[in-house]
Amino acid sequence: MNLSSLLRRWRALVHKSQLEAELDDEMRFHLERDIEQNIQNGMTPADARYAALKAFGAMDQSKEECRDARGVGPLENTLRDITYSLRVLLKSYAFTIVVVLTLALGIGANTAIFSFANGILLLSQVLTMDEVVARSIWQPRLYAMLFAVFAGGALLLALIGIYGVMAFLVQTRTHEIGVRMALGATARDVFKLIVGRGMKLTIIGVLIGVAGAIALTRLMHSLLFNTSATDPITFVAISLLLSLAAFLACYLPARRAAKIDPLVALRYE
Amino acid sequence: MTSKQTADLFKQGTLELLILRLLSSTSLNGWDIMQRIQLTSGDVLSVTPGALYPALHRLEARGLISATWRQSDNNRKAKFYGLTARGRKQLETQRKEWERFSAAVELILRDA
Repeated sequence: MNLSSLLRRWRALVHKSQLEAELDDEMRFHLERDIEQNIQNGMTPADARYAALKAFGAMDQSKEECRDARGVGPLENTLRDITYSLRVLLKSYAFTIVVVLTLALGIGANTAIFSFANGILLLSQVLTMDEVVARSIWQPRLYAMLFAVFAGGALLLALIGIYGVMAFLVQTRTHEIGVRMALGATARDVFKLIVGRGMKLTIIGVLIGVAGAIALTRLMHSLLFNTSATDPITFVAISLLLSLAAFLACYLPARRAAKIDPLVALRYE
Repeated sequence: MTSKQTADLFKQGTLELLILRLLSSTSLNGWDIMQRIQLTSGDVLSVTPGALYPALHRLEARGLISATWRQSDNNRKAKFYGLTARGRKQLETQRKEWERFSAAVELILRDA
């Protein structure tokens, strides 16, 4: 790709409305020219117009192909998807807050607990035998085990929370998904829509959760040894683990959404 | 690749060659290009707007042609396309390819 085509793409993205207007003008000029010629050939204005429209064929499809030729389609579509989902999220505060808090709590608690368990269960074992004997570590170990159990529970709860929220989301949007499919969205598009929404919420949740976890682990700092309260590996691993879990929790509702029959969905209220 | 896809690709390539050739002597708007293809080919070839405009925009996106808005002969503003330097080069290559191709077909038709 050379510089001039990059510039053209940039122009296509930034001056979208201007290009849209030009595309309209170009097509309109063609139609009017055709109508003029038809009238010169002896048609009535109404017939001339009808014949010109018929000869032109599917104008919207031609326009779409012209837009595609400029090569900004996917990027522009993604931008539109993002603004749309942000608008929807801003419109339903309560829903957004519940989802983000569920995720943040799940992730925050998990990160904090796993940091702690990691410090005690895993790293503290890298000791010589003497040290092991010298240290009476049964008590912290017991705590660690308990924490690990809690962490597992928290993970499970977070998963159920995400699953419930995503399933609810799919149900409330059944009608909209039906409209999208009737207008030509494929099962893949719908799947991407639902999973994409879930993952956006997950990312917000992860960010808040990580912030909360950093605060929380500072409190537990006294209980940790051999590992820092803000061990980056733990944080990254937990974030990834929960994102993966969130993906799985979105997967089932998304698959269900992709299987929606548009005919049924359109009548669904 | 199925035979239908090959036919479509072939047609698309031919249309591009015809557009480049028509624009090599003067700049034209979409409607003029359609008329000229039909008239010059003695009504044998015709192109629909649905094929022509996407092809024009593709050529423009590839930098082979460039567009300006100016008055047309019916006193309305129209988008006129003209050949760029790269377009001129592309026309030469495609033209040679086409001549080689049609000469080969011709040979087989005559002598086989």
